[in-house]
Amino acid sequence: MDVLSSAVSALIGGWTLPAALAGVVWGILGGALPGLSPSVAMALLLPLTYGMDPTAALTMLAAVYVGAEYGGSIPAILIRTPGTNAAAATTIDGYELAKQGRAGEALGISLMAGFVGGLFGLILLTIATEPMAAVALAFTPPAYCALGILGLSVIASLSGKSLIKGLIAGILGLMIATVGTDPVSGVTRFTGGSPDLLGGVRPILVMVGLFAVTEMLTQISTPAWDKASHRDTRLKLPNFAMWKRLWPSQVIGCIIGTFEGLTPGGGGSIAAFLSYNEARRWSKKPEEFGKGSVEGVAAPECANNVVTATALIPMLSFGIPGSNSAAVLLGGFLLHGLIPGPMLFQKAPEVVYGLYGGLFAANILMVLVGIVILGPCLWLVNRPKPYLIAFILAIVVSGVYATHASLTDLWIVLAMGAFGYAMRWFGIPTLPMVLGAVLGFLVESSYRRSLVLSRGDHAIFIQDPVSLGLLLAALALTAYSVWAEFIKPARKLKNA
Amino acid sequence: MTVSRDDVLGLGMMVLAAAYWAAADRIPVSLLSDNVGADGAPKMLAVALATCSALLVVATRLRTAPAAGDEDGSPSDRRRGHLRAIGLLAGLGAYALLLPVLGYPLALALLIGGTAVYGGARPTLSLVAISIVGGVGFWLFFSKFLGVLLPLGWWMPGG
Repeated sequence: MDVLSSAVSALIGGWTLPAALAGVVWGILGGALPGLSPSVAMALLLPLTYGMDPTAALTMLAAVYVGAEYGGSIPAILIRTPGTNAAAATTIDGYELAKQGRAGEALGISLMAGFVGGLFGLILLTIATEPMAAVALAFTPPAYCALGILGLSVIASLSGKSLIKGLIAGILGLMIATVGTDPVSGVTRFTGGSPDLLGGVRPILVMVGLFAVTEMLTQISTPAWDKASHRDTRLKLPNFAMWKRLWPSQVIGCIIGTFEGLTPGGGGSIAAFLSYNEARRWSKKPEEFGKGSVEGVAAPECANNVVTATALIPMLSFGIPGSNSAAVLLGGFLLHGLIPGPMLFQKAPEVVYGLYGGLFAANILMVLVGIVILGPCLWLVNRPKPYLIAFILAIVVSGVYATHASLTDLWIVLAMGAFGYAMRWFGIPTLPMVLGAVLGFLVESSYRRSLVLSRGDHAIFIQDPVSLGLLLAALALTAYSVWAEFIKPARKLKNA
Repeated sequence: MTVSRDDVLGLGMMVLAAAYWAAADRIPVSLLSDNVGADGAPKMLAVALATCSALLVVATRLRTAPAAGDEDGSPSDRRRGHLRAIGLLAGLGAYALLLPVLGYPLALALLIGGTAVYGGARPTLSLVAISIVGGVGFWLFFSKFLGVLLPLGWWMPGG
């Protein structure tokens, strides 16, 4: 009852509600700009929260996180450019739907799936913070490594027509992740002496290059590109029949998003890709995946938004920021003299419960703001193609440069764009490469830390129960994917 | 014996794997290094890439049907398409080179106008106006609203 009354009083009095609205609007904008990550969008607002009431300030920062994770899906669907790392999985079927003239439907599904995920995560955050926080503590370096391997196991099902080419793409992504400072010894690798590369190649640059720039190069190279059909300009929210079809994929997104949100470092990207993969496996229409499946949009979007709430569980309970965004939020707490951890619930319960209320409002506002802005977004992408390509590239180069004011980032994106264009020509799938670039650092650093802990003994990976469970799951997932992709069709062909 | 696209890819990736191994071999050894070493993962990846590339070449040789690829249009259409893509990429490269010299607003206006014309828009006065509004609008948004420090170019006050 305390939780409810504190949350309601925070919402009806003071600045919590306006702060949530401002945060959501800013977050959607920041998430939709390629290159600008949710954490950067939050960090830009951090100084503004200095003089604010703590509940309103933290609500605003958390609302940016909620808005940004949703906002990332808008360019992912409309222009094949994920605004955030976690939206990469949404591009697969979201953009295919847009190409079929169903962009409004895809945006509606992504909005409502995000809403369902956000609310589900918030309920868990409110009622189960204490017991679920224990999961975060069970994660040791071997478990992190196994988690990364579980994420990489999706490569098999993202490989499309050729598993070998998918593996090549995955390895190329992992190679990109080795650029920068070595996670154990601190030695620099493949930086060519450039200080800009010491921190590695940010996965979002790889994605923006491989998706946005490659798509624009492909569009302009297609002989009849300027005669491409125009699309729908109306947002279409899912009806009852659609909800009925989407609920299994949303349940999958909720379960995987919960688990990934609780594991510091897991994050929305792994959750989105795993959810996509599982949604395809359990779907009644798996053949539609990759060609414009509505479930392929709902599952990753739902998972993304669950993570925005459940990632706060280890942060609030132990002060462990599991992601960059959670770290910025942690900064917001510290800025207001609040130290996240078990004592936070005793010392400042009104702030925590007020934050819950603010997050609830942020999820509802996300839907309202989404409904208002998606119409104009759809209108914008239906402008004449020469102008559309020019402005998309202007957004891309500006967003990429603005984050770190770095020309190196810009060159990386252009190089990735050219590379992606060549990959398409060779028929290499791009998603495994993205997955490799996202997970490479996590896998390598935790693998080596584990071996440092065990003095080089690989048995540590099977002695740790969480690690063993995740590795077995990865093995099962890979075996199933190989069976579904190769053995099952071959048997069908033989029987026919 | 015809050389297919997959053959070229496989051989190219083998060369990349060899070059990557050679680069990994030059990573200095640190006193803080662990058993795996800073070059451990890269070398493992180089071997994996070479293996997959070899498998691809072998699979291509064993396959009778041609590999699936993006085969829309005639060869001359495809060549023209690739040249158009290279042209756009060159335009983006020129933007990156000119950004510090001309400044963000002007370079971006040129990118918007140039790309639109390259894409088939007619070079009218309204396009010039749209490009200038785009360049200045983006500059105001990023510079004034987000507080990002953007190069102004030698010709602008404060540049």
